[in-house]
Amino acid sequence: MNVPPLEESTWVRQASQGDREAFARLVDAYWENVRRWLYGLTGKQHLAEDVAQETFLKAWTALPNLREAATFRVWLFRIARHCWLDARRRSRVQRKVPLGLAIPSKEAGPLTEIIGNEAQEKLQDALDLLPAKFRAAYLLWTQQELPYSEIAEILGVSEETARWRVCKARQSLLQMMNSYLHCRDA
Amino acid sequence: MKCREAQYWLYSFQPNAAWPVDVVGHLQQCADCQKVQSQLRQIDQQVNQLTSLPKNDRPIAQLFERLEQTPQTATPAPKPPARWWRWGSYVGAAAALVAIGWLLGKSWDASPEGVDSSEKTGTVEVVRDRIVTVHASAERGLTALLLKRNAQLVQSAQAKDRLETLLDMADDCRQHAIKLIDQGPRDYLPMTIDLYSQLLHQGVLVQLARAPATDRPMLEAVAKLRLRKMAEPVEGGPKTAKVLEQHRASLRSIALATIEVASNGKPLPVPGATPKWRDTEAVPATVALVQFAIAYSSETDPVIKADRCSDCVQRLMPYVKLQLADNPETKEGDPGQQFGSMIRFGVYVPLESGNALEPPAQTRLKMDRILRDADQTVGEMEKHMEAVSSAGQSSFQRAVRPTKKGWEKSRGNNKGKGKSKGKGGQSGRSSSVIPAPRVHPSLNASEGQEPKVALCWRSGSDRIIS
Repeated sequence: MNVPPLEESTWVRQASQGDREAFARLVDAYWENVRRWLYGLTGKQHLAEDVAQETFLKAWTALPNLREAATFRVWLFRIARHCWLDARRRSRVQRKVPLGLAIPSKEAGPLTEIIGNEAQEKLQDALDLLPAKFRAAYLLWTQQELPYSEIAEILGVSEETARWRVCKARQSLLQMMNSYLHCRDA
Repeated sequence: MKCREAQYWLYSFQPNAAWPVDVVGHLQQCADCQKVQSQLRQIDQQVNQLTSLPKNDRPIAQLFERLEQTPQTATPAPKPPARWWRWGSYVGAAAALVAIGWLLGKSWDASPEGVDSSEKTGTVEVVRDRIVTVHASAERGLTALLLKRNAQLVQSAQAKDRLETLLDMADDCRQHAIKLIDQGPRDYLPMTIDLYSQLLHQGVLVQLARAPATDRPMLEAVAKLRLRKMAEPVEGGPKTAKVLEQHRASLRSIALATIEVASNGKPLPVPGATPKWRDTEAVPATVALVQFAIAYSSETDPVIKADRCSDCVQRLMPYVKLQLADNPETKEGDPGQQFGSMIRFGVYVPLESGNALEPPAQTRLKMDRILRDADQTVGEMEKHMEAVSSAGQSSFQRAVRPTKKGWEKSRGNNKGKGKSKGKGGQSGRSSSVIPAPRVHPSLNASEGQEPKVALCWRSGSDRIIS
């Protein structure tokens, strides 16, 4: 997401006038971020990619309504959030699916590897157990490195609430992971 | 500086140059906080790795294909054709609702007739200990204040009184937030500011929106006067970090924004459905009390009011039990008496007025449940009275005493109505849900004609055997 703001604003303005190439540049700039955030929320790669596609299609059609080009990032993530909520509502039953990717470990021996794998599974469980609204705020903060003001706008809450959610999410994760982190420290 | 204050920064912010010097100094010296910092860093890194995906060009190519075919102006999606099964499901659902209503009505009418309920045994599942938590001693002061305000709120009959109580609560939260900014600990600072904002936006503004047109100018004047005072800059606090000054500024801006909404002639926010927390969700006592105040003050239906209050009282029970056992003497008054007043004026009195409206069977069932819950709460307090010191006992007695009067009244009303249906000696509160009614334990000895009720407590349920 390292697009110079001036350049991004130009692309947004051009895209809002129907320039598909300019919109393609915006897709290139934000696709990975949106997909990754949605993957963190849904835990399913295909679903995350479907919802990301939906997000960009909606953004394309609604772009002429965007008043301030500088707020494109927040606006896009807000659309992504709504698309995710819609998808969740459609699926009705929310199943817990672990995030299935392995972390490349820097292990020195079999014991460390076992502890590492167990810790990874535990972290997946801990993330799954976080309430969705806490997870959404925390991922925007840690993964996307957004400031609290933008997180608040995306989630439609006050800045204080956004900060509170991130704080609680990290506290819960630390609490749930405490014993495993001790093992790793040892 | 204490670890708790430093950890507020650790949990909420990435380490950078803007951190206050005393926090950085503490981190350099404290091994425990260093450990927390390193563990949090590990978790953040692991989560970042865990949620990263291998590059996949296929969906992006698909997206570009779809974009090519999508015009920029949004067109409304065509409606899917109506199918017979959709209409069938609507009809089926309606039929099921009618059947449930009929069954409920039938069971309500049938139960007291010719059934000697004193010979029956009922089991009531009660969800317990799902309630509230008070983590920091600093929060106890605010909790005591909010409890006192809520005891006033449930006794407020006029819109002006309700509005003033909500403004008092907001001011309590604001002053508490200022104290936390100046002196710490700051774990609950964001939450306290959020509560302040909720009280003004969802409490005060909604009260103004609901006020009758004749009273509104007067209420607006009262609210604006108080809000202007809240928006005044606070002088004399110690110099704090920039981010804390931002918190202080946000307190002002919340009050100013509320004044603006109240005075610019725009329509005030339409009160929506009051949010209800999930049963499994533990919330801090301050949050429970603020949410209750907002929900209760915006409600007009007496039965729903009683339900909200009963819910809040049950949530607060574990905390109140601990508090009363110590027989606390706070400058905010006696918490036992305030808690008892909440039960009396928040549950029994609204139920009494709801009863006077001669509600339909379903509402009566609901009222029955609420009464039962309130009775159980009082019973639980009496049970704990025996297990605490003599000082704690008097505190519990002060909590139980106000409930007795309210209970007697509500029981009297119900009994009068029940006589036409039930047999002599049965309480009017008996229903199809629990054939054997629960007797208020404090009245058990004096009411010789009532059936003897033994309470057997077990985890998660309350078995009533007559």
